[in-house]
Amino acid sequence: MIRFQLNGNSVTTGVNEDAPLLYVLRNDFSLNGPKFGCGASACGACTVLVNGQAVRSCITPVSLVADSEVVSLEDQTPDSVLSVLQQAFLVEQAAQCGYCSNGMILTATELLSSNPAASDAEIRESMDGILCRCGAQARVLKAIKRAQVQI
Amino acid sequence: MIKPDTASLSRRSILHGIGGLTAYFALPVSIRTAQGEMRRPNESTVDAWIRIDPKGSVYVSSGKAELGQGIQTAFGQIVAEELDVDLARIKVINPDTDRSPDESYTAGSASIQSSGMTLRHASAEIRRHLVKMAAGRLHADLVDIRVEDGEVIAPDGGHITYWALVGGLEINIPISGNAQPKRPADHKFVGTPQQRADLPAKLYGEASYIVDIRLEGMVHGRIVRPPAPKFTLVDVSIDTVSAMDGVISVVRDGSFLGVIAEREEQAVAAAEVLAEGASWDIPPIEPPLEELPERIKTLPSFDSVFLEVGDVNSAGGERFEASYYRPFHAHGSIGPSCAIAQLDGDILTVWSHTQGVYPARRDMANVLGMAESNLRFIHAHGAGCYGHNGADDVAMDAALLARATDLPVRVMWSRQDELAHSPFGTAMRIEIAAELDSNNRLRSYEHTLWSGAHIARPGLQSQMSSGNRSGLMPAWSTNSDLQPYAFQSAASMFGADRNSDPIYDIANKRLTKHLLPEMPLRVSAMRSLGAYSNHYAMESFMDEVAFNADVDPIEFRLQHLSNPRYRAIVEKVAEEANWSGRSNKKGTGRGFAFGRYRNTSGIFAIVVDVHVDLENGEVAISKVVGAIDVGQVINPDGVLNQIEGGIIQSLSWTLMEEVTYDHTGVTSTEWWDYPIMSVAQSPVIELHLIDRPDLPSVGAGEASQGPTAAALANAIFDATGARVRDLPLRPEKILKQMT
Ligand code: FES
Ligand code: FES
Repeated sequence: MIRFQLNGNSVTTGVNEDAPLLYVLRNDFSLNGPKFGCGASACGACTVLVNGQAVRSCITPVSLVADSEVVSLEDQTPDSVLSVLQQAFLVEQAAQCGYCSNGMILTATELLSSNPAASDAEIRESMDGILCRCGAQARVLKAIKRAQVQI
Repeated sequence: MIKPDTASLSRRSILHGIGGLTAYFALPVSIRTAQGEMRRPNESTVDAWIRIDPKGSVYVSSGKAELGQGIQTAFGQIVAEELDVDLARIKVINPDTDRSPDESYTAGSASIQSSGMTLRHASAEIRRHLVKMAAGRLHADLVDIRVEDGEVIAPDGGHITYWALVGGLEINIPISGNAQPKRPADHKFVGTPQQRADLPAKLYGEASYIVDIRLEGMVHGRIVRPPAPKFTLVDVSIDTVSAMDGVISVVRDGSFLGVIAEREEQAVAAAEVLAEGASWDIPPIEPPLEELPERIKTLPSFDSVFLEVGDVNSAGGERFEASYYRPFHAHGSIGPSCAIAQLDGDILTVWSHTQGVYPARRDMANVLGMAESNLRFIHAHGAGCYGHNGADDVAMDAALLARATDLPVRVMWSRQDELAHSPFGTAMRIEIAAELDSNNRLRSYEHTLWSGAHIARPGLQSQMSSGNRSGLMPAWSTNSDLQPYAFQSAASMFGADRNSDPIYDIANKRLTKHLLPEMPLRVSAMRSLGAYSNHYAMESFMDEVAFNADVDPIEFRLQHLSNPRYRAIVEKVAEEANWSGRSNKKGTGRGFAFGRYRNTSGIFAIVVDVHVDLENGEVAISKVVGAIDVGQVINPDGVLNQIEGGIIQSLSWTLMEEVTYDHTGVTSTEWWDYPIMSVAQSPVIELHLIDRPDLPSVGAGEASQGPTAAALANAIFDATGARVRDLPLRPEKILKQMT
């Protein structure tokens, strides 16, 4: 049995400990936020926060999050950095298909949690590994800057 | 004053159907067989498009799918506007062959023009009808009636809602086209920026996409195939895989090979072992990648001069010639294609992010030898697709696996599948020749193109003149005799010539196309079809001629544009970008380009600013300014978002993208082999929208693809003097042209 905190709740799973965290979160805990994009740590669509760090759940065996705190796009903690970013993405309409938004928002959550006053260059650098094919990149940057003002 | 007749409604109740719909909105969906709770009404009556339920929701049905372009939001605006109801009442239903009108594909940026306008007329018709009914009930004169959020109000205060009037019945009136839609000046929702109706759920992790559908008992399938366009399975060892944890079934049908397992990671692991134990025969892919740019001109082709105006023969002016090349491009959806299929008796239900539920059903029914009526296709949102990607193919994969079990089977492609097997945007070569007269006016223009197919979508088999054909790739490797489409005439190959006819005032033109039915890789529709390449070539060429004639590139365009609408967009972008001519600074450059998509759709002009490192040829795109006119604007923010996305995508195609292959198949099957523009590389984008409320709405989704490519090439030329005529505009090519 592997036990971890998922969006504030204590959960356990008995699946094979090599199973990728992504499949466990999506298929056993019915999360929709983290998504499969490449399975190879190359796009960020599967991002979740593990103890506050943005982690690519597609290549993370579930056993690695034992006793850790996992936070996903579904987390509803009021006034969190995550919630401020979600609101900012909505206001800026910083998505088209929205498939990349999970990785964008959670990676920005990690950044603004540790460095709320991140410079433009730091934001661009931190977000660089999250791929978007719809061309929402420019709006994503605007949304992050909007959120910065509110944090 | 007009006293109304008493209008009436059909007695057929639609309550039952709406109940089904409500349930359906709340993903995860429950399994519903094709017995159909809801009859699909006649498409010429309003009920096929709009239904008002007794609780005051307005259900909108369209055959056009949400692809991340925001079409459902725009439809909501149109319907709310004409009906006079709040936007929150509108619920747009995903296309479903059991209940949506058949509108073929969602493609060509045409959904507003077609479906949107039908919805506008249907809504106006319903409003007129219900107001008439209400006037009769309220004993009021029609002219004195007003409507507020679906409530019809008489001058004496009497009132009744649409939903009370309709009472869950069908309205059953034809879309006559006689009910006059509102005047643009009276619009409240149309023309104002609206947030996308589907985004809150997507940004907060609520079930929204096909990948979020979890059916009772659902199992997971994976397909094993080499990354090549053609292959034969020679040998495979199945026993070890069958014995693996969770494996339910290994399915082999000819060279089609797949596995079904209880859990997703088990299916992935089983597919890996299956792949290791399989050997394939892969025929050589001809011509090889390095030879294609030249040999594309000698492949078998259908040739035609398709437009000839005046006389292009030399009149003794200055003659210019140039040749441009575009490689294969990948759609590169961030989410690989996914589908679910379930066989229940002889009824097959397929959940898919296809762009056309009806054509996909038509093709699949033929492949499976089923009656179309036994096959139900339900659309669910997917990741952005930008054309014909693997959506339909993975649905075929799921259907083929679903025959091995009565459980619903979900198939998701891997990243490698997506980058190897989704059809590509075709390679093209374009050669342009023109003659400039002594007043620096183009006297003649000749555009010659070589191109593979731009449309090979499923469901077109009846247009293929012979044999048993399918547009669904998995069908080609089964034991059936199904073959890919074989184009037999130029007429069956659309889209290559899109935007090859210059929109400029040029008296003498000749346009020639060479359409290539056989390309080394599988090709089909990708955002803007041939327009991207034709615009890239044409607008690069215009820049080259202007430079040689020592005329400002914007001035040169304006000299050939008499249409005031076009001049307005060009002048707008010049003003907003503070255009003062070429920069001529070493390492810093600006490029301009202009175009009207399909010569009838969105009008777009763009200025791109770049810095090029003169040591290593690396390009940084610092800023983009664009101006756009799409006629009457429905959702300004939606238009801007589409244009902006198109700009970034086109910059990415142009600067860095190229599908590669060798004798083993496609080799650009991971993101590191097929890089796309990252967040850090994205420019600042400033857009200016010119609204034309009195002109028809046209599509925005593809208008920016071609001009953006040329503006980037022109900016790099301005910064470096390097004119790279074969895409992508890689640093090494820029350096080579500089020396
Ligand atoms: S799916 Fe995990 S990084 Fe792409
Ligand atoms: S919004 Fe579609 S991938 Fe980013």
